[in-house]
Formats: sequence, structure tokens, C-alpha cells
Amino acid sequence: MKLLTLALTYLKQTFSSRSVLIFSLLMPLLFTVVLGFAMQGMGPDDSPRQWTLLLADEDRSPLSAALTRQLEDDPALEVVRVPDGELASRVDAGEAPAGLLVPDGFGAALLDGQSFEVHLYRSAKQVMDAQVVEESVQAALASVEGILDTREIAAHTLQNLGMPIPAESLEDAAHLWETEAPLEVRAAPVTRLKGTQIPIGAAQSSPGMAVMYVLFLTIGGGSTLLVERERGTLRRLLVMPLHKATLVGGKLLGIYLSALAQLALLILFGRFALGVNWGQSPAALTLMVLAYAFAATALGILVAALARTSAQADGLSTLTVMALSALGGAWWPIEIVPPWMQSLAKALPTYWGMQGFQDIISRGLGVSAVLPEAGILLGFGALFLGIELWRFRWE
Amino acid sequence: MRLTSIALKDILTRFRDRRALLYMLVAPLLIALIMGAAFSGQNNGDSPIYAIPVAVVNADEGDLGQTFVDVLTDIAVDTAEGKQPLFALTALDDPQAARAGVESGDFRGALILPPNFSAALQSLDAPRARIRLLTDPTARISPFILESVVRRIALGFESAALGGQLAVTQATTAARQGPALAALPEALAAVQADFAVADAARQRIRLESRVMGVTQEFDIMGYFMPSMAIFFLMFAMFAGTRSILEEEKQGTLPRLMTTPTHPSEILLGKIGGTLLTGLLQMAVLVLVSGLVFGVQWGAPSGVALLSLGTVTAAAGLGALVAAFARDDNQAGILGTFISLAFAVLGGNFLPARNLPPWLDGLSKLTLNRWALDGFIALSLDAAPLSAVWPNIAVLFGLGAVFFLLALPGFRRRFVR
Repeated sequence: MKLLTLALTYLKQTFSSRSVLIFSLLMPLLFTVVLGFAMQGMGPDDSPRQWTLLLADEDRSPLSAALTRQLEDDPALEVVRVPDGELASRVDAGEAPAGLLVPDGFGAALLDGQSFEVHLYRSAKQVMDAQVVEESVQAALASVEGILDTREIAAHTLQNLGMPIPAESLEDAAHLWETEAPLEVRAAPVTRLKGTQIPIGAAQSSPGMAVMYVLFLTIGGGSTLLVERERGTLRRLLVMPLHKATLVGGKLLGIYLSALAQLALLILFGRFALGVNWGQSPAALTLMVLAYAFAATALGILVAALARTSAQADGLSTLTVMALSALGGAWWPIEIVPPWMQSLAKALPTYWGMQGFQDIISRGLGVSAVLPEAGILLGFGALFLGIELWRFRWE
Repeated sequence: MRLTSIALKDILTRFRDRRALLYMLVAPLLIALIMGAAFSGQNNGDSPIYAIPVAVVNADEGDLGQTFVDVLTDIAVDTAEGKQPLFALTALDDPQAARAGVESGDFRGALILPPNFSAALQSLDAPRARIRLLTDPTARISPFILESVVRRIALGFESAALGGQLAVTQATTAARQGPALAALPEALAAVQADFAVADAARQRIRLESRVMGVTQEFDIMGYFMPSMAIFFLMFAMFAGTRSILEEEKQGTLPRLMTTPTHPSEILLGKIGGTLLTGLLQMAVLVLVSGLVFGVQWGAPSGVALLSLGTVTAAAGLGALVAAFARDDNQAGILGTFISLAFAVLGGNFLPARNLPPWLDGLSKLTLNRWALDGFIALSLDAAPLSAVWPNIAVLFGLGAVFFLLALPGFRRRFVR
């Protein structure tokens, strides 16, 4: 009973404070929206992601036209033709991640059996996107090579047989590719979501900012313990007929409940304002929210236990929260960081929070899939609590 | 004289305060370092992504499937760690296991070669073979890379098959019948074998790929270090100007007022101290990141003037908040709010280039955006001072406007 009263008092104090409302609700919402846009593609979107490729075709031959067609057929590319002289400067200006220059003589040289060089200009400011575009360009070039190879194999064979090579052999080869290609490649994401409603930017920023900002709230909560110690109210409370465990338990419960409330509000906003697929499995989501809030609460009090003063805890909080979020994959998809950092991330609760939430949002999975993540988070929480009980000074 | 002693006292207090140092110097360096490490693959135009974990299920009943996997294994890219394989392949027998592996996040993708893979390539009358790729929906980049590489390799295999088909058609049309046709299978096999052997070396269209706009070694820290410097500078500037209100609350300000020091001197001393603190903070960050992390900040005159402009604008904004806030508590909340909101809008966390026009417009209202764009021009583009004059002018302009707006607030507050 006393425990609950203490918890509710804390909860009421926390959410009646305007600064808490601003920093634990308004700010994460702003971050979710802006970072979602910065990562491109907000809201439910059925169209697959596209990258712009600037194209300058100086050659204007049937073969360069075939290359252009291959590029335009690639669903990942949006091909924008630019006048010959402008390509480099427009890539340099950051208009697109990359630009392709097909110099004059391309078709003639290749039909003559010679090799030829085309040029790809990549933007220094969009290297990651440029890598995707470069792979797509390579694939289109390979298609054109395929047509040339086909034509050449036939030509060599006919030559060896002493037969004439038909004039339209390039067209024939291209036609054969269109009708008789022996292989097809089908790619599909592994997800149990109905339809392909995967909002690209917000599906990262909505769980990411929830994972990050709940830590600000819990560490802030932990440092109120220090404030009370500094003011002496903790000592005063301790002389009352209250068990130490009740006192800390009440505080802990209060912080935990406030974290749950914050997560719930951020998730509701993501679901209804941004269309993020949070509602896939309510049971799995509940489990993950309970587990992550527990780990976050324990971490909040741990920072308090390790800090000597509340001022020190405040100073540590920004650094701790930012580092944990960046390393754990809350700021950007973890796939883009080097392999060693992906391994390092697995030692952090933020990583497991993100994985569990992504299982629900993007992979469309249910309770059994998030059990490992939830279990690991509970383990983190228990570990943090253990360290606290050992380290916290009461007076 | 009294003005300078007030300013100096403030600077000393700040640089002696360990918590302030954590904010001002340690945090920006550390966070920028983490960000830089996360994106370290992107330096010098190397491929940022490599060793992508992919499961391979080769169910092919012929031999060509294994050849396909071998080609995929051998693909390497230039990375910051030297030449590295693009994919880290794991062979599995069961497509279901591969799917489960992708679903659990162990693999970014799975490649499944069907039983009729070789058969489809060896006879065009056989049904088409479908190569399946399963990809991780939480990944943004790797699935696209996997798909285009697999498509490219598939094309190489198809060329030989289709070339044979074309040869047969053309020879049949040309010769109708006769002794030449009888020699066709042998002649074709010889040519196809030739092609297969020479395949890798005989790439006729070469793609020469270069990174634009880099006149010095490209270093992603040239974006992250200024970003974090600006972000944490804002905190320090708000804290500095807020100290006026703290002194008011603690009663040290009224006590100062009773001395023959004019209020404007006190105010100028406090603001001067804040400005100098900010300049010192920027100077230390530029020097330490340059010496320890090797960050190239660019033209020194440009860096100095931009830093001065950024410090002026940020301190001005801090003064404005201090002038009109109810008390130091409110000023603190407002300052943190502005620091965070401006940072995310101004592109200090992720580059602002993908923002839609309305957000981009908002972004350009922040001093962070003007400062960051300037610093990036100097560092990443190695632009000369002349390229960032507009940014410097805007920052000083903002600073001037903020201080002017703050004046009436301070006057009402202190001159009674």
C-alpha cells in the first residue's frame, strides 16, 4: 500500500512538471518527425525506395539507348537526363548521389569488340546512396554486356562454320534476352505484414526516439533520489516506519510507471499520426514495452547509484543516453555501421530494445519472436539492480 | 576593468566545473567519435557496407549452381579495412531455415537457387529457373546491393546460354541444311567454353567511378565534429547567460549592484565571459579533434570567423532567453528546448538534405544550420573563406538582432 502511494506520488509529480512534458513527450515527437524525414520517406508508402541517377548520353547510339532502357527499367533508379556538360557540376552540387557519363564512341567501340570506359561521378556527401546507385549501374552495364556476349558467341560460331553473320544480329540478341532469358530473380522482404506498408523513415525514428527518450526520463528519475539525499529528505523518510526496500521500491515503481506512460504515448503517436505499424501484435508489443521500460528504469537508478551528486548524474545523463542510443542503433539502421560496431551493439540494452520493436513493426512477428529480446532486457534490468543495491549510499 | 574581472571570473568558474567540462568538451568529442566510427566506412569514397551476412541455399541438381555461389563468394570491395568480401556467406540446406535466419535478423538476406538452375541454362526449352532472394525488411541498403549483385551474376550465366540459342537460330536460317549444320554443336561448344574461361577478364564496359568534390581526403568527421561542437556549444552559451539569473536568485547580483559598478558593466561582463568561454570551447574542440582525430576543419580564417559568428549568435539567443525568462529555472528549460530542437532541425544529428521543403525552410531559421553548412563547406569541400561569408554574415546578424532584442528585457530587469 505504502509502496503504491509512493509510486503514485512520484508519477503525479513527474507528469505535472511542464519540463518533463516538454522533454519526454514534445521533444521525442519532434525528433521522430524530423529524423524520419531526414532518413527519407515518411508515412505508409507503397512505392519502393528510389535513388536518382543523373545520366548524360553523349553517344546516342542504339547500344547506349539499350543501356538507358536497362537503367530506366530498374525500379530502384529514377533516371534524370542532363545535358552533357552539366553532369559533374550537378552531382557536385548534391543534386543526386551519382551521375553516369556515357562518352561518344560507346556503341561503335563495343560493336567492334573493343572495351570501353564509362564514368560514374559519385557525390561525396551521399556515399551510402552512391554505393546503391553504383551497384544498379553495374547491373545495367552487365545487361548490355549480356546482349553483346550473346551476339558475339553466335558471331564466333558462325564464323567458325564459315557462315555469314546477319546484319541484324544485335537486335536479334536483344530480342532473345527479352523473350528467352533462362533465369529470373525475385526478391521479397521477409515479413508477415499484410500488404507492404513499411514506412521507411518513421519505422526507424519512431522506435529509435522512444528507446532514446525513455532513458532521459528514467535517468532523470534516478537523479531525484540523489536530490532527496542531498536535501536530507531521504534520511528523514528513512527514520519513518518505512522499510528501505519499500522506499526504493516505491521510487522504482514510480519511475517504471512513468516510463510505461511515456512509451505508450510515443507509440500511440507513431501509430496514429505517422502510420507506423505498432499495432501488429499487441501482446508482443506489451511484452517488449514492459521489458524495455524495466531495463531503462534499472539503468536510470544505476546512473544515480554511480554518480556522487545529482549534478553529476545530470551531466552524465546526456552523454550516457546519446552514446547508448547511437551505439545501439536507435539513430540509424544498425546495418550501416562496421561489423565490429554491430557486435559491440549487442552488449547494450538499446540494441535489444530496437530489435524487439523492429520484430513487431517491420517483420510483423508476434510474442514468440520477441521472447529472446524481452528476456535479455529483463536480464539487463536485474543486473543493473544488483549493482545498485551494492553501490547506492543512503546518506 | 571591472568588466573584465567579472568576465574572467565567469570563465574560470566554468572551466573549473567538472560537469561543465563534461558538457563542453568531453561529450562533443566522444559523441562525434562514436558517430565517426559508425560511418567510418564512408571515408575516401570506399564502400561503406561489406561482409553483409547472407544465407545461401543451393538446391541446384547440376553443377552451375555451385559456380554461381563461387562467383558470389569472390566479390570483394574496397573498404576502410582494405579489400573485404562484400558478402559473408553461410551455406544452408533448407530454405525454411534460411527464411527463419532472415526473420530473426541473423542474415540481411538469403539466396535460394532452385533445383532446375543448371537445367534451365543448359536448354532453353526447359522451364525458366527462378532465383529467390529473401531480404531483411529492417535493412535499407544491403538488400538493394545483394539484389543487384545477384542479378549481375545471373546475367553472365545467361549470356552463354542465349548466345548458343542465337547461334543455332542464325546458322539454321543461313544454311537450312547441309554439312555445315552438322558441325554446329561442336563449334558452339568450343566458343562457349572459350567465353566461360575468359569471362571475368573480358569485361568490356569498364566503369570508372570517382567521388566528386573532394580536394582533400574525405573524412566524415568533417561533418560530425562541427555538428556536435555546435550542439554542445549551445548548451554552454545558454548556461553562461543563465548564470545572470542564477546570481539574481542567489542574491549575489543585487549585492554586486550595490557596488559602484554600473549594471551595464555587470551585464557586459557576464556576456563577455560567456562569449569568451564559447570561443575557448570551440578553440579547444577544433584543436583537440584536429590533433587527436585528425579532423580537417579547413581554412583557419574561415573556421575562426565562423566560430566567432556561431558563438555570438548562440550567446545572443541565450541572452534573449535570460532577458525575458521568468527565472533561471524557466530559462534552463527554454534553453535546453531550443538547443535540442535547433540541433535536430539544423541537421546536427542527420544531414538536413533529405528534408521536405517546409522542414528545410524551418531548418534555415536555425543558427545551427547556417553554422553547420559553413563548417561543412570549409571541411568537406575545402572551400575558401570567401565561400562562407554569407554564413558568417547571417550568424553575426542573428547575434546582433538577439542582443538588441534582449536589451529592453535586461533594462526592465536590472535598471530600476
